[in-house]
Amino acid sequence: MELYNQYATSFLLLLVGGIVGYVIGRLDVACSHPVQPASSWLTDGKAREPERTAPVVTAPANQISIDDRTFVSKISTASMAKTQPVSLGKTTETQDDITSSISKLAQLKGK
Amino acid sequence: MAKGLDVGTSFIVLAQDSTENNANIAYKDFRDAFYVIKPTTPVATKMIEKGLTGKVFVKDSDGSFILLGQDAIEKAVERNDSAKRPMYRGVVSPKEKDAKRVLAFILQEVAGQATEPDEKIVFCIPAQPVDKGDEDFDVGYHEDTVKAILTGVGYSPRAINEAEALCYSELENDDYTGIGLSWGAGMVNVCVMLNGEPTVLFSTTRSGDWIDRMTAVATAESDSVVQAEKEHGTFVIGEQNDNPVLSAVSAYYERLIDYTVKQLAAALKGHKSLPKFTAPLVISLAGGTTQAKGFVEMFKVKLEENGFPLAVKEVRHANDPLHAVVRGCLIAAKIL
Repeated sequence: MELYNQYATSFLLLLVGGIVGYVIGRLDVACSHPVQPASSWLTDGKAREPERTAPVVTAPANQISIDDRTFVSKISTASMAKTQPVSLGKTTETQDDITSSISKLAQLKGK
Repeated sequence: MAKGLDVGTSFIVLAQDSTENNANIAYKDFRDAFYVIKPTTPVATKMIEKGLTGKVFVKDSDGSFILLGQDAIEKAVERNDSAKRPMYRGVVSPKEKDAKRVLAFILQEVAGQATEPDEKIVFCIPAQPVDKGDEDFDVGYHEDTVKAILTGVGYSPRAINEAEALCYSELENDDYTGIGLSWGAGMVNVCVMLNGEPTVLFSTTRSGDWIDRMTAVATAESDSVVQAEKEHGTFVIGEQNDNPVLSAVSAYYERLIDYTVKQLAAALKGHKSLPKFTAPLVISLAGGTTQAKGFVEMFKVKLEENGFPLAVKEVRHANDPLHAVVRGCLIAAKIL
């Protein structure tokens, strides 16, 4: 009986020592590798999502665009003076009735 | 009264009714060119001004003389120089300060003050080119500039595509269905029209000016000299000529037509917006560049050679090639 008690005590001491050793070993691992590994048996092979302080919201795409057409500055011809009365352009007159063209095209365009 | 205005690289043309019942049209043409002479002394100023009597010119605030129109080209040729253009390849360049002022002066003088409040005026603009990614080519800026100029003299301006205007003028008997090619100085504009609606619009950036420039390089002459020879000399496209300038002009004409037909065929092959035409089409050609002898014949030859993808009924030269576009603008102005 006494022998049995000695074996039981030794077994318990060995068990406690093993558990304490394992815990100390895990703490050491945690301290030397502060970054969580991508996979380990503790995490079942799943990578942890990084923690965020606020949820990320992506703005939806829209059709708003800036008017980037070239600006037309004021065009002044005041500095250009005619010194003699000349007319620009030669005028010619032709007999050309465009009434039918106008009405046919207006009809096609539903005007 | 509505008006049409062709704002071209080589000519500015105004069209308006000369009678109340649309029976007659009055066209006013003005060469889109200028040449600056800056005198160095007061004596030179007086001498130059005297020499310019009878010519179309304005005096600028810095004392220089700006010759306008055909007189500018003639003076430039006289001085073995080249006249300037307010426009380049169909549009006004934002980088050329003088050009914008000169264009404004010419447009205001040719169009004149509107005869009634918000009088309608339709002017033409080019389409986006398929063969050049040029940063200077800004159709929107050009349209806004011309609108600002015309609004300044009391008009309510609207813009339409140049080749669309040509179709309005020339395709009445074809139910406004066909193809229009406007061969200006700076570019060739193309419109494929179905029942009055433009379905495909594009342009190419080589036309009459390209012929002049290439000939000038080949013959060591100025662009203005080449232009004058081309417009007043006699030559037939595809035929040899004793005059070296006209011989080069003829050769470059053939290359230009071949290039344009190739671009046209490539642009229309498999184009998503191209309608399924049930009948062969009419192709209408207009513009100053088409005035050369043998142009239409050479165009037909190149259509065959380059495997044009659509059936063609007829290649037709516009009745009045220099005024067809502005006539179309006037028709549009009466409807819009």
